[in-house]
Amino acid sequence: MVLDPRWTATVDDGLKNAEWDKYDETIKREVAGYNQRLGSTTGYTQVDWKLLKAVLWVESGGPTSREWNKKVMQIGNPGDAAYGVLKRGAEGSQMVMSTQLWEDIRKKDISDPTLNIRAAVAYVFTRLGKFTEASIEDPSDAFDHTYIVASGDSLWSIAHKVGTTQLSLKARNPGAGKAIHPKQKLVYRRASMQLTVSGWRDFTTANIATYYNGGGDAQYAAKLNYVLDLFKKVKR
Amino acid sequence: MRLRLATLVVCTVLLTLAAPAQDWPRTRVYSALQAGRLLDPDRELVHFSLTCTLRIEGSSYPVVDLREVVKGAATARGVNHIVLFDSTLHPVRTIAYNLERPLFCVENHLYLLGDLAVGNLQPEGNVLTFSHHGATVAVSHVDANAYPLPTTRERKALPSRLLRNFCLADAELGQQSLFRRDAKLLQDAQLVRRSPALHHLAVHKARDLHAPRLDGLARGRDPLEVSLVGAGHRVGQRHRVFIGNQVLAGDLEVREGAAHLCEHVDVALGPRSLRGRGVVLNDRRGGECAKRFEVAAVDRVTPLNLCLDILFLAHRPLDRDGLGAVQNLRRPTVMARLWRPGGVCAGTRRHGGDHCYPCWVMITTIQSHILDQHLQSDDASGTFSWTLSGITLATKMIAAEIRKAGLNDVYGAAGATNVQGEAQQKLDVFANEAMLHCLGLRDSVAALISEENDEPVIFEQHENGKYIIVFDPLDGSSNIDVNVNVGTIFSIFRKPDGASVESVLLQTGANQVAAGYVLYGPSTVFVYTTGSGVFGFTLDPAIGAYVLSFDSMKMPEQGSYYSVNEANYETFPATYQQYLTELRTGQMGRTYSSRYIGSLVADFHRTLLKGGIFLYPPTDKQPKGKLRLLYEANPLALIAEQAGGRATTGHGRVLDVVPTNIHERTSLIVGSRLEVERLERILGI
Repeated sequence: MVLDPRWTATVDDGLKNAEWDKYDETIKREVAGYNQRLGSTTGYTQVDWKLLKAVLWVESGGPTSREWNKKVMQIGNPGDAAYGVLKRGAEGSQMVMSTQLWEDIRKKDISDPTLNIRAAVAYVFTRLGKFTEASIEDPSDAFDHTYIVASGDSLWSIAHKVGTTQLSLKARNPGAGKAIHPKQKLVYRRASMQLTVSGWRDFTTANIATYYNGGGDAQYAAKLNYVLDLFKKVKR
Repeated sequence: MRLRLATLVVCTVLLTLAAPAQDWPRTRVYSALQAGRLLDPDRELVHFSLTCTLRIEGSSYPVVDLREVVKGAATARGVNHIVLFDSTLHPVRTIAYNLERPLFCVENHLYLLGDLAVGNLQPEGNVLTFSHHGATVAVSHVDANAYPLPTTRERKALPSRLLRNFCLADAELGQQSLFRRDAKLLQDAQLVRRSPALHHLAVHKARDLHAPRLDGLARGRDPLEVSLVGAGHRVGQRHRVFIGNQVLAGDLEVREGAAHLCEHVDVALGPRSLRGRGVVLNDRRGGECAKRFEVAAVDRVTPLNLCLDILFLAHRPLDRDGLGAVQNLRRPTVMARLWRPGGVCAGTRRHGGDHCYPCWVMITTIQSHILDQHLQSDDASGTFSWTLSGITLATKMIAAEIRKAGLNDVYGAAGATNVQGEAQQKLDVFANEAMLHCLGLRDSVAALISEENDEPVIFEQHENGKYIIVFDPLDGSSNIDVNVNVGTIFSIFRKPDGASVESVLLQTGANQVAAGYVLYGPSTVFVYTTGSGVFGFTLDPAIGAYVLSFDSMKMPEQGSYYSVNEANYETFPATYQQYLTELRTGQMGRTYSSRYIGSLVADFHRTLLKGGIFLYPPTDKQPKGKLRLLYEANPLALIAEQAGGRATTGHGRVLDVVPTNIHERTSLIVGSRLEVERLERILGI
């Protein structure tokens, strides 16, 4: 795929202009945090921070961009889904973000370039994560509780009432999945439906283009590849 | 060999089941996207298309592919959604996707281009299977080779139709001027010289083409760029957009980006039909694709009749450089759309000489009726319509469930009793969950109060919730066993801004902003009022929509029926006994007949249509009355008053009663003005 020569000329400037490296430490530190925190999750392989740096170059267009010292990663642009997802901790983002970052995203100015980069990195990890919803029992609740079924109860209403899940009720009470009856005794432990990280997509330029960029720019992967090749030529 | 034969049989069956997209015009789809607030003003719409129509539990659910990009971003970020509409083009749900766009439907299965994780949750798969009227979706994966490809069927369908009428319009690029009245009706397909020209049904900005995104729309960089849009209605079940740089007297030159993907062009335009029909697809660079298509003779553009829904889009007039060897048309910027004769569209209609617009069978669905009403009021945002659509959707689900009650072994009690002490029916549970589910998804709903739940359901996460909805999901459900009519009753209150939900749960009936009921009888009827008249709609099972059937319902001033459970006569207060005697003995000026079904909604509906009076007086056993104030008496009282009737508790106007709890009981007398006024005189109120 042929990239627009005006675009390549812009990023080629990164070969000689050190300003393009301004956020290196931020990205390194952020990616290192994910590598450490998520390293033990299923299917995770260590992520090269330069991949995220390439995302920065592609997203921003470099130091001449108006947003270079603001929303450098474009997170928080009106109409952009990423910021809302991160603020809500939705789509698994709460699983990948540090508590501090989530709080910062909710409370601080997203126009701060460092926070913008941290948010974008979190969104990349969110989009490349695979999440599954599962019933998780509260580890601090070590004893069985009992509940006597009342008229009008359903598994859903009981779970809601006592703070557990339908899945947990079914698991601990064989037969409850089919029918329950008034005065029946049910055993339960506190549980909730929680997201778990069940795996990871490969951190490739193609996947970032698909899951992070959402096909908005058909040349996104090619641009990332171009920038990654460019990094090999940078001698600073 | 046996395997191949089996595969062929399977594919044949699947192809037979493949559901073509219902022939919704793009205007309707675009309007529906706008009405459903699915077009983000901060994003640029780059594509929308009606992909196909799902059949879920017997009803049609159009699937729309919607793609936007975030405005103002240095690098465009795509935000793509699959939108599932109901048959009235009201959105049921949206599903975000990346590149896994919808391809086609087979019954309730939607096939995708690649594996999608709905809501970023596993599992992921390339087939979405919908149930519960679209509310539930299951994800599965099939091998792409096992897809029931619709191509064969498409091609069979291609050559049979002729284009006769085009509507041509010259909407401004960048304008969303729908339903332009200055479109011209031509008698045959032809090129016109109007500019700037962009079909008003197309998205307002088109995209530049590049090979991996053949279905983007044309946009600006190339001044000569022209788009050919096969919108997938009859051409195929997949939306295809092809971009050429010229449309010249029958020549369609395919721009280099698309030209090397000949097979796609081939499929989209149906090469068999093109042969000898006078369309040339020409790659200006003379690639392989050009050779394939240049066998066609240059003639007229009419052979494009093989596609029933094709748009030609151009940004600006072509200049001399763009004409090439074709001399007879110099500025052929064109856009055209065929109005399909027959079917839903009855043809085209001239209006004021030069104008044309599609001639539709004019039906009013409940959604359009609500929108019409509320677009003229302060609630122009469509929030109310969106909220009420939750009720219409749920009641359709309930109606469908009731229809198969005898088949699904759902008769009889589920072994539990509800908070009212009544035996709870399985259908009660279903109806309650349907209402809770459909309304709980609306962020405009602050709280729900159901007959089946002892406590209100409050949605704290709905920060913008401004309605409290009270309902009896299945009134008279004990009648299901004997195949007698049942109903759903609802009442809607507004939650004032800033007020806590708890503080406004108990409002007088006079504060209702809307009330209504659904009667599941020989036909399913939806009656509602928003305080400016009463309107009745009948569910048309053929299209799965409530269609206006009773406009401005009025209760007769006096009827001929009274409706009361006379088995309780001896326990009624003496005043009521005296009143009933008057009715029976002709003292009201006519002889009354007795009608009592024992299903409140059915009894009320008859009273609404025929007049007369319905009574549920206090009895020795239940001195405060039996019916529930919030979700039975209040909504029916509002409807009665709006229809010209009256409603009283026996102590005063129903709508003035201040409730003290959500399941409060009351006596109820409702009906024609003369009958109720006479009773009020006897009761001394």
